[in-house]
Amino acid sequence: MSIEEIMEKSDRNGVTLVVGADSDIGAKLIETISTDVIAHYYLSKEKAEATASNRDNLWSVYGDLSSVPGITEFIQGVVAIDRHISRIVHLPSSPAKPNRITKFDPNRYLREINIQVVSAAMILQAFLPAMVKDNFGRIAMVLTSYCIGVPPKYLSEYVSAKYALMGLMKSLAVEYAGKGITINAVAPSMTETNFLSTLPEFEIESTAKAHPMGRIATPEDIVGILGMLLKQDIEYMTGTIIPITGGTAFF
Amino acid sequence: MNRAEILDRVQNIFRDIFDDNDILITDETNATDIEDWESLEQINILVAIQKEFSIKFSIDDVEGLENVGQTIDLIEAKLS
Repeated sequence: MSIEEIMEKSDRNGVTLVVGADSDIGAKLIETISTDVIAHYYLSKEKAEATASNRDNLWSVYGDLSSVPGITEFIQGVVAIDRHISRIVHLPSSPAKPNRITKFDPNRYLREINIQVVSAAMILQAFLPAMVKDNFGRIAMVLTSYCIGVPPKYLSEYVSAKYALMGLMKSLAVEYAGKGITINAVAPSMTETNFLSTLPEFEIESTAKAHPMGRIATPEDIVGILGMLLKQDIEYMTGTIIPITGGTAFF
Repeated sequence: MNRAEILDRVQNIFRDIFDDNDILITDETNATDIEDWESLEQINILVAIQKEFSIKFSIDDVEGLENVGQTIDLIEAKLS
């Protein structure tokens, strides 16, 4: 069966939970999902609901994922919608901010770990059991190409949080293998999103100029692969990290 | 704004970024003269200069800058 045939084949029902739906990638992803969606937002309800005006199958739930009580409240909000969740896309993160380890801030770091890692663990803890009963689940996480090979300097907080998320993804992929549940990740390189607002334009230009394709990634580049990981037929691939780098980093 | 005034304001940026009030810069000062002046600091310096002088650099502007003098030249050109 070709990829095209797999993509076209009708998919299993169930709600897709997009955590971090108010990010540029999350919002773009929701546009491509026609089935039921629960969209987590933190900064922008409008962005998470951008496509909600012309659809009646999208629910948005606020969640401050920077603390355990905030994550718990978010999960309760999702549970209250009372729908079976069959797919989860997890992409919340703060922008990567370059810093030397001498400027390490433990509170900022713990906040980031909560947003990226603890939230993923608690959300999966809440919703994986029902997926196991249904013998079907698709989980996709967003890492970074910095998880491939040698990471850049001065991003120890961001990179180590992503490595923790990668460890969680791989561990759970093993734990849930053979139960109809796949857990995979994408590893994009620098992408045109609002995350880049913390970087000077000349730095972004420099990265684009040095790239073999002459540009950085777009949300569309990422969303297509995330969508593939959610397909029912992609059942024999789990614990995998897919680089989306245009050739600048791969295994 | 004359060159000496620009140099003075850039010097304050250097002192702030390197957390060293004794730093004295000249046109010839480069990355080998200041310990810790690596890529991160170079970016921080250029971002601080953009903010201080309300100017914007492109990659073509900042590629190949070798010392403080060339940076001051660039600021002067942007302000003119």
